[in-house]
Amino acid sequence: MLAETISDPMLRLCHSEFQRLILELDSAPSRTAFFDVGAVAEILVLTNGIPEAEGLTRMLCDAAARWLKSGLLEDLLMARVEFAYHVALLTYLAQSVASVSPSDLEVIRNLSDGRLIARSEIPVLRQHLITAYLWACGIHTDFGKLGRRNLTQIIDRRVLRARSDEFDLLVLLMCAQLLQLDCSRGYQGPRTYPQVLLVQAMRAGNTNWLPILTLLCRRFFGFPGPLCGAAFKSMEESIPAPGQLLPAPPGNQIDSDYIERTERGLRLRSTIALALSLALPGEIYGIQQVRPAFN
Amino acid sequence: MVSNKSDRLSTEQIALTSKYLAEMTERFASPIAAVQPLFGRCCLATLPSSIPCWDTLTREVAWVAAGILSHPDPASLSLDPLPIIEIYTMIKGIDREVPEMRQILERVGPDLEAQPPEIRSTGRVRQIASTLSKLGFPNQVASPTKETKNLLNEKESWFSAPASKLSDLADHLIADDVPLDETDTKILSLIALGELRNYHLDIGCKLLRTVLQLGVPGEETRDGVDFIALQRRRDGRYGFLDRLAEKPEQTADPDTTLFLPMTLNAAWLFKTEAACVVMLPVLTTVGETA
Repeated sequence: MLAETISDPMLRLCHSEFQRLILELDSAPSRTAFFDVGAVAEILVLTNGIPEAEGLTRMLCDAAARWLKSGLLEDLLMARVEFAYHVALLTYLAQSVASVSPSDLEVIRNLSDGRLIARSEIPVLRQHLITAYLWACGIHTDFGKLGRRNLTQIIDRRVLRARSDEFDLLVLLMCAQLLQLDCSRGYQGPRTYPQVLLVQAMRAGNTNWLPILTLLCRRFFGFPGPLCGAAFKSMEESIPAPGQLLPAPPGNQIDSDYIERTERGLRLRSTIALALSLALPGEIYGIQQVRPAFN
Repeated sequence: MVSNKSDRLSTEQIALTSKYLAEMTERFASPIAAVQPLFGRCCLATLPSSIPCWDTLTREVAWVAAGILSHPDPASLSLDPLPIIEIYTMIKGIDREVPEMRQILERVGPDLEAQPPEIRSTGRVRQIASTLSKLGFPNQVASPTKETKNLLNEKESWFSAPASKLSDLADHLIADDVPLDETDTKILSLIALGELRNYHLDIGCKLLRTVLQLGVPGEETRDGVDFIALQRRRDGRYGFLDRLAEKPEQTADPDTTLFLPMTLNAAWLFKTEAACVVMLPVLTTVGETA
């Protein structure tokens, strides 16, 4: 009785709404539409064996197969790292469609082999840092076995991802903290990645990132002499007017539940880094890096 | 460890990308517009794993060259001589000759010399003149301007130089064929990587080619070539559309705005890498457990 009067009409409504959502993503892919589809997929993937859900699941799987074959999922995967989970979920669902073949997965496999996707370093770095800081306070936090990871290589591979945002810088700040805590148990800091970000900041006129990256390269990661000289020259050209902080990074849109970075904090931290860099005495080349002995 | 350069593309992958480029040639159906896809296919044909297809390519090159020669006003075509010179060089490299190509190149030299000094001293023109000269086409290579000489010496300023100046700088470096030391190589490779991450592919690939040709390629160079290699799609094209961009980068035809230029850049870069005398360092195995 309930099925006929309440459940069936509700499912019919969901069916038509979901169909509209799929059509929307088909015609004009957007971040919102993709995450909306992802939200639906998260529940439908758990409905195996429930006959009433079959229509919706079939519709989703067919759409997922279409997006996989057209390359849309690959494009989204490359656009933002946070899409990776839903792309993986939709790719999994697409496998149930007969027309999907292993060759349709070739690009996603390459991107995974190339360590470009689904490797968010921030959770790992966070756990390491939480453990390390609390340990220094006498609190032993056990996250279980974190496993050994070569952070040098994992983080350096980020250089292969197009389009930077605040996460890039955050990863380096966390890495530097780990190195400073001297608890990275044989891990080394990244080499190429900080230098490339510094070059990008200079070339893009990102005066907010510039002093942070210069400070990080100077104290932790190292950089070649000409890059150091060019960075200082760029910083000197971007000193804010008296009483002013440095501007926020251009196009900063990174606030999320995972990380909130407001303009005030970002302007303040970068101005501090700039002031310290300019205040540090001595020559700027060949500076002794603050690196743990294991390096 | 060194990389096995023949592994960059398999025989099947080369065939697939060549097929895509051949489709582009057919799509344009004009000998003039066919120059670039043809250049890309010639680049792929030089890779170690390619199946020899020079008979077909030579025939097509002759067809394209004849089309250019028979044009009533070739100057109006605004043809970039560099891909033509590169095609000629590749064909010559396998001991073949396409007389029509030679005729075109014989015309380029006098055209260059008729240009005003400020044009002749640009990197692009100097590179073309220098390459022609090496191929035996009599030509005089003009000197670079004082401003360019300063830029060549002030390496710190490379980091903030606009892409157009860097592009010119790379042309001058290749024109003069001066070996790059480790620092120069590192600087240019870092800039190339930064540009690639912003999807500025032309300048990124050009700097990498320069480094592979003249420098001591290192880890940063390898990362740059890896970046391009990872842009490969199932149909042999290269590039990923940013479908979520507020203003879509590719409005009308993504093949002409993204995929074709990127595929050509990839083919040219892999060819340069394969010819590079110094092997690129390869990534060591990651010791990682869950």
